[in-house]
Amino acid sequence: MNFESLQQRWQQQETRSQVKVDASLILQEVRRNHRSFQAMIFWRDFREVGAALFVAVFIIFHGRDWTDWLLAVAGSGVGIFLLRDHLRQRKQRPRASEDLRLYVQHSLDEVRHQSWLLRNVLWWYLLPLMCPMLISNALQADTVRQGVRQSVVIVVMAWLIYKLNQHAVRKQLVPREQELERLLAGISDDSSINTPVGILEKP
Amino acid sequence: MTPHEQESIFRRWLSAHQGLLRRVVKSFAATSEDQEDLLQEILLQAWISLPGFRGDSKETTWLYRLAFNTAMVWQRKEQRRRVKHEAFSSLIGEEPTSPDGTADALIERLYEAIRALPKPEASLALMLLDGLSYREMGEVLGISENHVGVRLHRIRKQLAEQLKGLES
Repeated sequence: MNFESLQQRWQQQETRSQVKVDASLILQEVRRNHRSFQAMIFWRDFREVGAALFVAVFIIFHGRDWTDWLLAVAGSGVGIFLLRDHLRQRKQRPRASEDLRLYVQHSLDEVRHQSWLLRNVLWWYLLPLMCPMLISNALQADTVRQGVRQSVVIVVMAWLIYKLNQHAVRKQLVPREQELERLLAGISDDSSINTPVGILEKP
Repeated sequence: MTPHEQESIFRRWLSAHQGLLRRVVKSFAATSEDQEDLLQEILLQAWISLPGFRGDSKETTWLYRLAFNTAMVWQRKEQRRRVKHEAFSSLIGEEPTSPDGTADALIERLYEAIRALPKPEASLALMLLDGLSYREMGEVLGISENHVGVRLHRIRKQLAEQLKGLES
């Protein structure tokens, strides 16, 4: 069989198995999927940014001294950093209609950025929040023993959050990054093989 | 683009290019559940991206890009497994049959062979069989026509190897 007849047979499959689709039903499902997709994005952003800003606003109204204000400033800083990062990333998000090479490159950039964020969670999230908490604890604790105990709890919590983030990087983001790198290399690969072809001769 | 125009174009494309969508999902996903999941993802991306369509490229080129991009980065997400919908099942359709009514073994083997290829190669193989020009394939993948030629040479060889048993 040569290429033309194979191609002809391939293209005939469409006419043979053409089915009448209910476009209204599909459109309804697509709209439902779109709504749940938007809701997922909204709640993800709300969880990440909203929580930090909520803590900051709460402390502004209920804070007792300068150490509480310090925590409010740190919370606001983290919230603003995340908000700015989300807005910046949204602008650079891959568009499904761009060519494959660009799309995979942009997807890879996105994953690398996420990976960078989680790897550095200590610097932009944990330390800014932990330091005011520890200072506040050191100054407000009734006894040294109580202060030490509470500080240990704070440090252990921070360590757990750090470890969870690093686990997510290792288990989810690194494999995804490697997969996209392979894909990109596959698209950009220009090595040629000069061997004869059999069944599928060039048309 | 108004919401009405978006809906109108979406409906028209759905009707005109269902074969293209079906071939893409069957080339990237083996089981009917996966095909349905991928199809939902592609249609969702098409709906979201449609307002950005300016007509700079042919609508088929645009759709191939969108479908391949979605298929390339599509991963089975067990946690958010979707409910099976009749609408999508019918769009994927039944297995192709020969004029005598039997399942077309060659076409099924061809789909298997395409799925066995690396994803960028699978996209090229599909476009080759669909009869796209080198220029169009290059536009979809973002590579030069020469590069497309080199890649197709290799793909033909790989497909030929896979289909050897059915040559008769």
